[in-house]
Amino acid sequence: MAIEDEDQIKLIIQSKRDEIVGKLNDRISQEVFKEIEVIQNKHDLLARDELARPFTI
Amino acid sequence: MPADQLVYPFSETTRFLGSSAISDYISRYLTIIEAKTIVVERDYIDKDYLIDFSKFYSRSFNIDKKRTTRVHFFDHIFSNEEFQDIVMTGDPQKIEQLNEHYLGFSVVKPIQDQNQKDLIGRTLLKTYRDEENDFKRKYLRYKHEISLFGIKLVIDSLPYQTQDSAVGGCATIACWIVLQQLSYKFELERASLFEITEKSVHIPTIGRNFPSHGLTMEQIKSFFDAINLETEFILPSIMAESQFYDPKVDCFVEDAIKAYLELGVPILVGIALQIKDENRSFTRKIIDILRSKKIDLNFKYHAAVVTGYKSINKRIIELYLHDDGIGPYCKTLPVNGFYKWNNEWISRSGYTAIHVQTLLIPLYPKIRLPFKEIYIVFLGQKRGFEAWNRELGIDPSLYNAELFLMDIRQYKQFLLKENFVNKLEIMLKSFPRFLWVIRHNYGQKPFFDFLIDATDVYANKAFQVIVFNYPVVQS
Repeated sequence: MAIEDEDQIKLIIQSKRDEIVGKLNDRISQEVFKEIEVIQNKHDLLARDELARPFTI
Repeated sequence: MPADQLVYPFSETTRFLGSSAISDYISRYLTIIEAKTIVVERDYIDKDYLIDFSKFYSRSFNIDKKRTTRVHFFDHIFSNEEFQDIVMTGDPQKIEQLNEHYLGFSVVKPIQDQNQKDLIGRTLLKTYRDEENDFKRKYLRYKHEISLFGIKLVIDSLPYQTQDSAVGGCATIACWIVLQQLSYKFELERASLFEITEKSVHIPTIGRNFPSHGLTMEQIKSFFDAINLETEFILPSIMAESQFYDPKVDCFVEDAIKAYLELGVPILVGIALQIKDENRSFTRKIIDILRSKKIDLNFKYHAAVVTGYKSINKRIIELYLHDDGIGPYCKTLPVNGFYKWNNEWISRSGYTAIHVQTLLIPLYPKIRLPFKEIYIVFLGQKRGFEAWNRELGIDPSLYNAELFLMDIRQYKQFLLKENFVNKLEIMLKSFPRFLWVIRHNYGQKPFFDFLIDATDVYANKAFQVIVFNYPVVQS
C-alpha cells in the first residue's frame, strides 16, 4: 500500500525513529566479510576470460 | 559557396555534417533541443585530429588535409549580416544573447569512413533539461569555453567523437571519452585517439595495431595503467549471485551507475550485441573450436560509456550513453532491469538484444576500497533495514537505500544543508578525501548515512555514522 500523504509518512517514521536508531551501529558483520570473500573468489575466476575479450564493433 | 557566408538555417546541417548515421543522430538530437541556426567555421584547427594527422594520416598518400570544419548550433534565428555585425562590433549584449541560445558544436574531419561518409570529430552538445515534471537528470559534463572568431561561447557538456577505425575502434573512443571527463575531474593529461591506441597495444594481440580493429579489456586496462589510474573491473552477473542480493528490489548495474556518477566518474561498459539467428557457413570443426574457446558467434562485443541518467523517486528509469556507434547522450532504456538494454542498436541497427557484460571504472589511485566489497556491505545493511521495517510494521515502500562515492567537498556541502545529531562536531571533524556513502532513506528523505573511508585498504567499520533528524509533525 503506497502512502501518499507526506505528513502521514513523517508521523509513521517519527513514531518508529528511536527504535530504529537503537538498532544502528558502525560495525560491519562477520557474515558480510565472509560473503565478500565468496563473491571475490567467484569474480576472480570468471574475470580472467572476460579480460581477453576484444571489443570490435 | 561564398567564403563570407557563415550562417545557415538548421535545415542545411546535412550539407556540412554529411550523411553518416552519427550525423543523422546529431541532427535528430538537435531537432529535439530545437536548433534553428548553424554557424560554419571553416579551416578550424582541431587539436585531437591534428595529433592523429601528424602521427598517422600525414604518411598516407591520399590524405593531405589537416584542418577541419566546425559547425556551431543555436536555438534562435539570426542572419549572416547580424552575425557578422557581432564579429565587427563585439557587442557584449549580442554576445550574451548568442550564449543563451548556444547548443554546442561538431567538428567534421576531412577524412571519410569505409562508406565514404564524413567522420564526425570532437562534438559538444547541450544536454536535455535537468528537470522535467517529476523527473531529474544527472549528467557527466563540465563547462567548456569556445572561441568562435573571438566570440566567447560557453557550453556545459562532455566531448564525444565517432569511431575512426584507422586510429581507434570503439574501445579507443570509449577510453577517449572517459579521459575527457577524468582529465577535468583529476587534472590528467588528455590524449588523442592514436595516442590511446598506441599506449594500449603494449599488450599484444594477433591483429594489427594500426589500422585498429578494437581493443581487449586487458588493453583498455593497460591504457589506464599507463596514465597512472587504477581500474575496477566488475562482472555484474557475479555480483547478483550474492546471497544478500534480492533481484526483486536490487539492480547491481543501476546501483553502480548511481554510485560512480555521483562523484563524476564515467563507467565504461562492455556490451554484447545479440545477432539475429542466421545460417553461417562455418564447418562443424570451427564451431567446436570456437565453443571450446568460449566464443559465441551470436554476439558482437562493443564498448560504450555511461554519461548520465534520468530518475524518478531515486530510481533510474533511463540511461544516457556516449556511444560511438550511435551518438552523444543517446537514450537507453532498461529491459526488465539494467542488465539488458534497449536503444538504437536494436531499433536502427537490427540487433535483437543488448546484454551488459562488464563494467570498467578507471579511478584516481587514492580511491582504494573496491566497489565489489562495499556493495556487499550495502546489500547486507539493506536487508537488515528491511527486516526491521517488517518487525516494526513500517510500509516497505517508504524505505530505500542508496550507495554513492563522494569527495569530502561534495559530502560536506550536502551536510551543511541538513539537520542531524552532533552536527557541529561532525562538520568540524577532518574527513578523508573520498567516501563511500551508504544512505538509508525513509519517505525519500535521508535517515541514516554509513560513511566508509574510501582511501582505506580495509572496510572494518564506519568512519562516521550520521543520524538525520526527521522532520517532526505535530499529531
